[in-house]
Amino acid sequence: MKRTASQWLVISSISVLLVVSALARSRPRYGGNLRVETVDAVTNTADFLRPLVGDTLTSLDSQGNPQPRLALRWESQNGGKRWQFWIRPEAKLPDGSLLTATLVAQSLTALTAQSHRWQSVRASNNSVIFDSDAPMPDLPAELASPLNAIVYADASGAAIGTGPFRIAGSSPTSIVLKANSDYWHGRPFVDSIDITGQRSVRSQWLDLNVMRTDVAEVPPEAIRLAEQSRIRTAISPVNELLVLKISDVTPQLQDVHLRQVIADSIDRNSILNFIYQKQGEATGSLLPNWMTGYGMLFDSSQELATARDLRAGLPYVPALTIAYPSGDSTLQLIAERIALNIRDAGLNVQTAPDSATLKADMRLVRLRLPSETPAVALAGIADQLGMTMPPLTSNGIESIYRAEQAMLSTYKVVPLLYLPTAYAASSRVRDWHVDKMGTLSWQEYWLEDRK
Amino acid sequence: MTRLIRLLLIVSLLVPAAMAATSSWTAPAAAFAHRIANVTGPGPATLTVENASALSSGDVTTIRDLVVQNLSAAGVTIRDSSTTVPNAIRIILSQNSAGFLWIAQVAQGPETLVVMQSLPLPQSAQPAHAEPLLTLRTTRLLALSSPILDVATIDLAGVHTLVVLTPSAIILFQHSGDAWQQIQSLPVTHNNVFPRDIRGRIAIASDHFFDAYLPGVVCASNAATPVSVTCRDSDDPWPLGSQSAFFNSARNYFTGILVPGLEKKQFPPFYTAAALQRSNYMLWLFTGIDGKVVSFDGVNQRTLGAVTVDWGSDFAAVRSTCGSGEQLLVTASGDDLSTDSLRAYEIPDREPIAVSSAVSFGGPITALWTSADASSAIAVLHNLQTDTYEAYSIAVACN
Repeated sequence: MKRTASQWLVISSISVLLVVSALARSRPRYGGNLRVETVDAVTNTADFLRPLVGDTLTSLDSQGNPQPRLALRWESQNGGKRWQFWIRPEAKLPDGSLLTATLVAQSLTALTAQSHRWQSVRASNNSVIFDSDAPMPDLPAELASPLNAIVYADASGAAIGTGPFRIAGSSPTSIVLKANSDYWHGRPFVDSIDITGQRSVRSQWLDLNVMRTDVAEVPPEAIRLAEQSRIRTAISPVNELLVLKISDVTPQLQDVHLRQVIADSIDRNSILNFIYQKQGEATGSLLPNWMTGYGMLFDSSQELATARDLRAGLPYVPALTIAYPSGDSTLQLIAERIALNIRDAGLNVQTAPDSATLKADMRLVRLRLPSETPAVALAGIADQLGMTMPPLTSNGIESIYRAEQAMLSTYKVVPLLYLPTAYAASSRVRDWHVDKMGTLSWQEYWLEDRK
Repeated sequence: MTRLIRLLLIVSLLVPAAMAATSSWTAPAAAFAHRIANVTGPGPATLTVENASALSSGDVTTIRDLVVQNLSAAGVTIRDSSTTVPNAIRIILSQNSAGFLWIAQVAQGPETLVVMQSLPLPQSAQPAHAEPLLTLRTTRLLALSSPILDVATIDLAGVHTLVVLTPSAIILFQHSGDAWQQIQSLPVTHNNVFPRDIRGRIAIASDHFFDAYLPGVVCASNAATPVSVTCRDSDDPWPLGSQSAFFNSARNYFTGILVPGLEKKQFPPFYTAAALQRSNYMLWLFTGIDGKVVSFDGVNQRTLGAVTVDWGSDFAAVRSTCGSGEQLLVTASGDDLSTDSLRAYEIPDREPIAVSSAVSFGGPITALWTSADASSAIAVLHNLQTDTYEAYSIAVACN
């Protein structure tokens, strides 16, 4: 999303009318069509559809404890290397047939694109059994991730499942979902959701202004502007991690001290203040402080003097390259700021858009927090960064802290910022909120009748 | 003398509260200090305490004092921070999504060791009472992690028993000491899918203990102990005072059809209905699913005015010995993510008049029903902080 200050100003000036209005409380009302726009392409197999058309085996309560969902109960065997989950008997598929353990196992077996703890999953009567060589103490929490929702493809390749919505139609740029009246957890309040993809944020805000959409996206760098423009936003706790991943393939970067020079030289606060207008948190940890409570133990301040001292003791270092995702103007700006910081420490650095042929020494990477459970989240982040998480000695927070400390002590990854997820909604959307993970609570929204 | 009595009174109120606060931290502080002492060993140390949580400064002081006491007992003597000693202890009282997290960083020369202790968050405070005209008296009955749809009281072999209706079970509680103890859980069996924003109602029966109404399901108890229930798919109307009303089993509202019916045969669909006794007629009130509040006096139906704009979609009529003898308890405007309140109204003429201050609740009220004897109402609060459902008995007291 390329956006200039003047463009944002134009958008904000036309959005002033989207004032949060005080509406009389009512019990949720049924009916209506929720219109949603997104910059992403929408297809009937997209990941974001999984929790809409499917359902997870478990969910997490407000304390992060796993609760029954499609699975009624579960138990671990063999020291946590084997888990058995018993499937809810009344969950129905779109054709009216009941969900079976065999279909659940098929769906989970097909999850090849993402890493997960288990090595195999199979059906056994009305249950599914997960097996692994290593203990999986957090498997019930891991299965609560929307990406692990039980979904499979129908004959046309479209995603189907037992979830709150069903795909009713799709075009190259949009998809229509209908409420599942047989949803075992209660029919959603809205009758349908129309999702239109490939809409720029500017177009989304314009449509929101003229009530042509109900939900629009608000990138972190535009949250302040949305609030100043009195656009009705819902902002999650921070859940998107921005890191600098330092390659240790490059010979000179195999020296941990050089990697420390880079880490110590970065001024996270200036990135947060100027680019994100303080919407987020500077972080020295991989997991957010709201999740762990120990974030302050990882220093996120700039230590330029230390970086310079360390640099002075190092031999000649050739020019280094920081790659940022091609076409992402915000991350380009951040890469350039970081390059400036590292130059201040006495290293020669340049920036470049990432490509398959670029041999970058460092990469700016955005990561979505993969779970609300600290151990699962840290393992997921390690997977996404291609790192190995040290084994946990217990399930306690102290053990997770030690694992995180070990991962960060190598300076192969430098956490920079944690950012929130935000969306804007029209005044007719009620119970408007996003959850901790930045996920829209589709089935809980309802629409105020504004005839 | 009066001052002395006042002072004693204040002290008598404050001391138990302070003692209670201290006692809740005593065991965790002792365990935490024990773990710190295992790292430092006996000897002198410096100590700093930082608060990065929602703990009050009073709690922080209490915890600090308790940790210092326990460290001293373990042979760790706390010195002034300017002193050079082998151990520098930095305690951070932090918080995460699961509860409180107490962290101790122990610096021993170049090495820093870390000790952590997790504690659950305390239960939320009781609802705050506002300045009364008439006073709403709230009595917290119990809290559950699953939604509470209604609560009723029955006499079970001479023992006062709470019947709590949840979407999956009817749970019986009896008093044991200071708390309600679960004595039985009777599953609610049903073939249909329950709607979102599920509602339910318990009706005390004359020839057995109770009937429980849920969308598309009625569960009837037996008349003997141990209690059992039989549930059947049914669209039988739910009792609402002298009338019964058909409930839309796929939605969260009543269809508008009443049995045996008022003079006007059908009303628009409504969320809530209540009847206020007048000298020679009943005044019925309905909150429609369009958000409007209408009254019906047996002849005329009219939409109530501006004061009801602030009303939520739930109300309940209760009898009292105050005012007109009958008040309407009304929830406030907001949505399911906001705090809520209850306020008593009377309708002396055409428009409602507030006769009590609002009692605030730290989350939305998800259910509000008149009790079987109409002397109180049952309100269910969804506590957003703890994600639990708390049932309250609400009565009107005279000022």
